[in-house]
Amino acid sequence: MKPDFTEISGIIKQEISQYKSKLDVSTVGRVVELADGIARIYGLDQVMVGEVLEFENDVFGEAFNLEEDSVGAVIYGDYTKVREGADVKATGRLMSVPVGEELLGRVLNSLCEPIDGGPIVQTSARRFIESDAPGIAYRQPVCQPLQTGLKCIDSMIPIGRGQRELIIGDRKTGKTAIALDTIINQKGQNVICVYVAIGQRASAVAEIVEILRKCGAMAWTTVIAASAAESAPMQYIAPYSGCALAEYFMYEKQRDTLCVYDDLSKHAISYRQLSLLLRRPPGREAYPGDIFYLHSRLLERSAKLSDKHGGGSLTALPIVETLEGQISAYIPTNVISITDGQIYLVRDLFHAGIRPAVDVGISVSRVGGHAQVAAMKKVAAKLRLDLAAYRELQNFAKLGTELDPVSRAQLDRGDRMVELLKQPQFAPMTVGEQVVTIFTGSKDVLRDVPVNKVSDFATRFLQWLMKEYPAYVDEINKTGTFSDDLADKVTAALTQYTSLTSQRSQADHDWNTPDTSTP
Amino acid sequence: MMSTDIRLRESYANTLFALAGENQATDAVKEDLETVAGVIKGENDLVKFLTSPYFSRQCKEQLVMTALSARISELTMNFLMVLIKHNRVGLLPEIIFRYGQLWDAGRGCYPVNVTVSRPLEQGEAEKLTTDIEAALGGAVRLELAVNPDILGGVVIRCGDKVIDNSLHHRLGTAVKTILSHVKGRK
Repeated sequence: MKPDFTEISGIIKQEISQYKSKLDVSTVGRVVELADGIARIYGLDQVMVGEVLEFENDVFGEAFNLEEDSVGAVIYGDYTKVREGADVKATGRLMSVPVGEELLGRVLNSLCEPIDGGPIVQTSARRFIESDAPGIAYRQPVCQPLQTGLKCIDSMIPIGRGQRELIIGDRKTGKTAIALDTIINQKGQNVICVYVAIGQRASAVAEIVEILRKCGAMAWTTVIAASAAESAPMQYIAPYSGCALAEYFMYEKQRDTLCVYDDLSKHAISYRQLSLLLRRPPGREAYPGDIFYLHSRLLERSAKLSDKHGGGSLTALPIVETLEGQISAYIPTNVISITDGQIYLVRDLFHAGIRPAVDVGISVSRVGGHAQVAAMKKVAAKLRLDLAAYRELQNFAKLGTELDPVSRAQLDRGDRMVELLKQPQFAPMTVGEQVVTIFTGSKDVLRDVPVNKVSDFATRFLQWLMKEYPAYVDEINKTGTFSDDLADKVTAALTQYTSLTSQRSQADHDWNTPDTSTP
Repeated sequence: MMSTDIRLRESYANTLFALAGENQATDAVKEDLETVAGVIKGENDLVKFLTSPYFSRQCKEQLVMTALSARISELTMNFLMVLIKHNRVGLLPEIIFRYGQLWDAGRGCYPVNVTVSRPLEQGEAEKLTTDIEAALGGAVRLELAVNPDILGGVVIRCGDKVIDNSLHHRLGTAVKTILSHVKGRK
């Protein structure tokens, strides 16, 4: 980079005119021990917990443990640049990161510095990494939906803006895919997204960024990446930095924001490493005693602000990875109890081809129901119960007992509903499309469609409807309601479509019948 | 130095200081320790020998006895013996340093490190001492160091507090300010 010298002389002039000889008084200590991103410092008697420490070579850290004769500190950044015996300066500041619109579309590290090779950004604002969660007076109940674009979630486990919904499941069950679909679906929804990758492979993060870029979602998204190669302190602060960035948009710009923490089990592991290196006593599964507070104080910062305070919101989608479906492990139970519901992904369903592999039985959304779009509420009301009954019956049917025709019909219907709720990745749907699809499923038309063709049928019908009667879906999207009148119209369209397809397939069948007479 | 060493150093230095206080011998012990420090400085291998597990305790004690018994008081000698017995001779330089701090504090005297870029001229050191004494409101023990790297000005260090008024520091700050502006525009 070649600096512009006229510009520099301007800056110098400005600096000189404002220059006052002020005495630089600072408090210093000495690094006595250094390892794995942790430093033990002698001196710094007046230092406070959470105070930023300045090491040599522009490396910064934070005071964590104040002990009788030394200070335990974590180092953010390249700790190999710090030597034992070096001076450490207390700065009297708290840790903060740059925030602002300039960071949208960028990939940042935990300190919000760009790592995507793009230009360095200078933002006008900074925010503290750790900040208090808004109090009761600042909040209002969740009242607006946050559409994930996924049928099975928006219909049965609706998420509201300002809610904290946990995505939990084994590895390779599509947890990140749900979060990504949700981010992609925020197109035109006026939601700022922050995706925080903690302890993931750098290649996986690069892939995610590429997907978001291809889908055009980087326009409203910032990615904060603390890959597995980063030191434990960097992984530890990543979600707090992400949250600070989202908070800026919520508080200062009155915007709706979505923050994905992918994933908090790795975050807990990095905090465990940090705590053990700082010689804090280990507890269950060797996690430190304040591991609950670690996540509760992060997730508690999500909120739907009252209109008096701008009405912005911060929705959190924390992700937790389980081992062999064990949701009763330490970190999963902690995060489940903190969040307002969970989306539980099951490996068996995933392998059975039911994707997203959401287990509807134990997935819940505790507050999102109030925020669900009326149209969706209308068509999806029975869906959850129907599916629960279906699962129960399915277990019963496995025993090989003869089923009465009513149960048989219910089982068939369930099979078709499950098929209908399948959705490919990166293909989020609008509310209108979802409502129409689920409504189709509630009609008897599907009975004549073979189970493996249901998904196909619904997609084709939707495409046809969007072409022939685009007003129907638009009306649902605009008004958020699905009137009886409109329901009748859609039913009529459905009948028209089925008759059309049955004629065509008849014709197709005639034409395509292979001529067996020719060799 | 490990953090446990700091704790050990504190314990040994505090105990020695308290014991010397009981015997009204803090000044004598201070002098003794300075002597020991001088010997250690002169003989690099001495601490190595005293900390080596290869030699027996008796052997080490014998050597310290013959080398130092004429020059230091009995209390200090006994202290050295205890250090040898517990295999803590490695901490000796730190203990001497800490004892010096305690000794200064006991006399209400502040040890102040001053770094300058060139050797001070006649009268300058005295002026600096009286100025710092006036500012701190107590006696000052000045330790002067010359470091041409700071280019000019003076760096004063008293305990944890550092007043960095060197040209090197000021230039560094100016460079950082300019760089942050330039980076921001680009």
